Amino acid sequence: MKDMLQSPTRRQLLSMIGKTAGATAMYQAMTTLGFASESSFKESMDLKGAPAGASVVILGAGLGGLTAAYELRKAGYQVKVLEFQNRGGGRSWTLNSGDEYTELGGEKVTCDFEEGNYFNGGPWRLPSHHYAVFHYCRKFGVELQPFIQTNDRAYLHRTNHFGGVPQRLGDVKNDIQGHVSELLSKAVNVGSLDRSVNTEDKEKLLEGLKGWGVLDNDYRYVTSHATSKHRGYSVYPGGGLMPNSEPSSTLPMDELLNSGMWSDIYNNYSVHVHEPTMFQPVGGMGKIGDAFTRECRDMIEFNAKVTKINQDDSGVTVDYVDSNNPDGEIKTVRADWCICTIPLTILTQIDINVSAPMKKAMAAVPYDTSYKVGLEFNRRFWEEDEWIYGGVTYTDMPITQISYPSQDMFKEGTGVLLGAYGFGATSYKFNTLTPQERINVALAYGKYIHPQYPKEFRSGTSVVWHRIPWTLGCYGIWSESSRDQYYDTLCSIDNRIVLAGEHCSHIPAWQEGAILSGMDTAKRLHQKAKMLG
Amino acid sequence: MDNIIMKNMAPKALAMMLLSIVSSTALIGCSQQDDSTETIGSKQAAVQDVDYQASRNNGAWGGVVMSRDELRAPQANIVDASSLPAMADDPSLVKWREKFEGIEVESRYEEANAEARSAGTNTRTVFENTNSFVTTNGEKLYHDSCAGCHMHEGQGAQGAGYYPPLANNSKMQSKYYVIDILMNGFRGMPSFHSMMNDEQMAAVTQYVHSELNNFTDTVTAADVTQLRHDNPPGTDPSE
Repeated sequence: MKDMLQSPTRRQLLSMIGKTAGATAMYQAMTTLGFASESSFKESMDLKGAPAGASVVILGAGLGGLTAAYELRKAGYQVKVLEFQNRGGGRSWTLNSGDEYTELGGEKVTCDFEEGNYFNGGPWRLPSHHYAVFHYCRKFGVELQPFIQTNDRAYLHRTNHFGGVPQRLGDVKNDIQGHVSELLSKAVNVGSLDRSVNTEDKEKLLEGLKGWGVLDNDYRYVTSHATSKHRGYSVYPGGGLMPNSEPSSTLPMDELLNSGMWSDIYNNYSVHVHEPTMFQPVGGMGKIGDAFTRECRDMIEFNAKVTKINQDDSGVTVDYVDSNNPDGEIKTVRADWCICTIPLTILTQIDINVSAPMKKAMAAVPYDTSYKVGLEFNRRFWEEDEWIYGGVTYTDMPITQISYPSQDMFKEGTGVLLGAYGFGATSYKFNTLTPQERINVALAYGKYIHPQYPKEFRSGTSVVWHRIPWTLGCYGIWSESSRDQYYDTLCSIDNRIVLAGEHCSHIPAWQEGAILSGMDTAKRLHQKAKMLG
Repeated sequence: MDNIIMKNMAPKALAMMLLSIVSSTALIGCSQQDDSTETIGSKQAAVQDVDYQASRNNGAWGGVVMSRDELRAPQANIVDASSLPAMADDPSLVKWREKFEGIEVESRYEEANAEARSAGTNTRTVFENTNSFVTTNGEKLYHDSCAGCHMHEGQGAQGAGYYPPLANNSKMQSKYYVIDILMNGFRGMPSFHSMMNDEQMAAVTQYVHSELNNFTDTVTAADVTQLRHDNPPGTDPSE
């Protein structure tokens, strides 16, 4: 008995580890987001007492720059913001019906959705612990609604497992829990854990495993009404003389293990940045960028391409040109201080006189690759046919994931899916495709999860971040070693210049990181300015 | 399609099939075992018929959706996937399978392979999707990675910042310069240290050196090996 149970269990586990290590490597880029630490936001800022006549020039009208602009103006500084684009908000950005932009390489990306539909090409969800984002949303009147990350009716999909048929997340979760509980209870029953648990604990452990895994009296995880109470029925209970309920069948453990779907659960769902409840602004993530822009509008000069940043003992001089006419007249702005939020991809190409260690730190942060494709359909078939209301489906196909809209549920007519979103080599490949090709890829693969695609498709749009002219990449990639070597230097005030933005935070890629960096930078700069008078 | 095959199989045959899959995938790293050994997986497979469509279909039957009579009728899938071609035969995927480089492997569904054998054709192969660069063709590697920024003709691009051209660029004369940047990244450009092996880096370097420029050095994997080290800057050895 003991041998029978132990050996195959170990074998299975090894096989499982092999599989999941592969899948983990696949999602490596995504999990780097999961390393992000919790927001350190404590309370709103109330900086006071700027030295008389003190001025700050802020480069970049993204959330980091505008947070600093807003707070420093409140403290009494004269603030001017230069922005390369003709809009503010930076990566807090939504493509709305009728929008278009030109990417690097000259291709035009259009968004031809029906009025009211939109696509978040950058950030799209807000964890409950991103307090600083919520603080400014409240302050600026940005309405938030729940964003559904975890929906047990969404799918996990593996091309060569389960016959290529997507399996509901809830089924996979419940069945893994059940099978693991069965195995563990067997180990307990044959005494394998006697060195770790005493007799009393053993009973409690078995009781817990039985309940948690929905095991029968013999501690087996088998299809029953009890398991269906958790994973759902095959025939749901009805009323009157409607059919009697029937249990749903559990999925076999070996196929679950071999599929690698387990890794989706711990990589994508049970990470604190994806923990329910999550939020999104009503009308698209760009509403946050828009609100910051509105609040700071009179400080911002758009279409300003910075060409030179030069500091001296008394201040900072910034040269800039018209973004649309870079060979035109060079304009200049002078201020006591400069907060620079220009992405490091671009800043490292600008003439700037900072210290050698700062220059080195600026050059030590590469920018990650990412891609997103938005697909608009004639009807919300994921809701109408498949009872999927929000949530995310994960797959091993190049599209990596499909996300269902958290808004407008039960609406008649069109809806927009996030039809592809990923990182790594697949993302580099997506970045080399034309806008039309990206849509074609998302449709060609996506139909294997939703066969309704070909019939219902209306239009698509996309963002590939290495082709975005104002970032040249998605976000700053940090590692433990690069943080040790360069992070403090990058965030330090270099005489009269200081950097800010998501790349100057421990929450890269998230808006919370940009805002916290803007707040912290404003505070430190204010302290220094007051000290120097 | 596969689920129909599975459905019609005797439970015992199914268990044998699953067993053979389990044993073939589990040989790594521990004592080998007789194929007839019972495992948790095989025990369960033996007592249940796996309908892969069930997970999606569950909940469709009964309640407000179907009456008792309707329920007795043959059940259809809630989503009609019958018009979907098998991925291997999908003309709309041919180009993208090549682009995204799945790895061709023998089907894990032995039934499909057996059918193919009896028909005198090769065993059924399927595509395992990857999130990696697989090819060692320098031209393909260039168009799958470098071209995202430096563009397909190597002309570079200009926005708020610029991506330097790689075509007609005298810096590309030194193969070691190119390899160094691939290995370590450069400023905003990420390192390809963990994404390309020596052979791939050599191939893409050769393409940039000779095809986008007219330089004539031969680039070998050994050249890359020379410059490879364990920890490129910007990546974390602990990750």
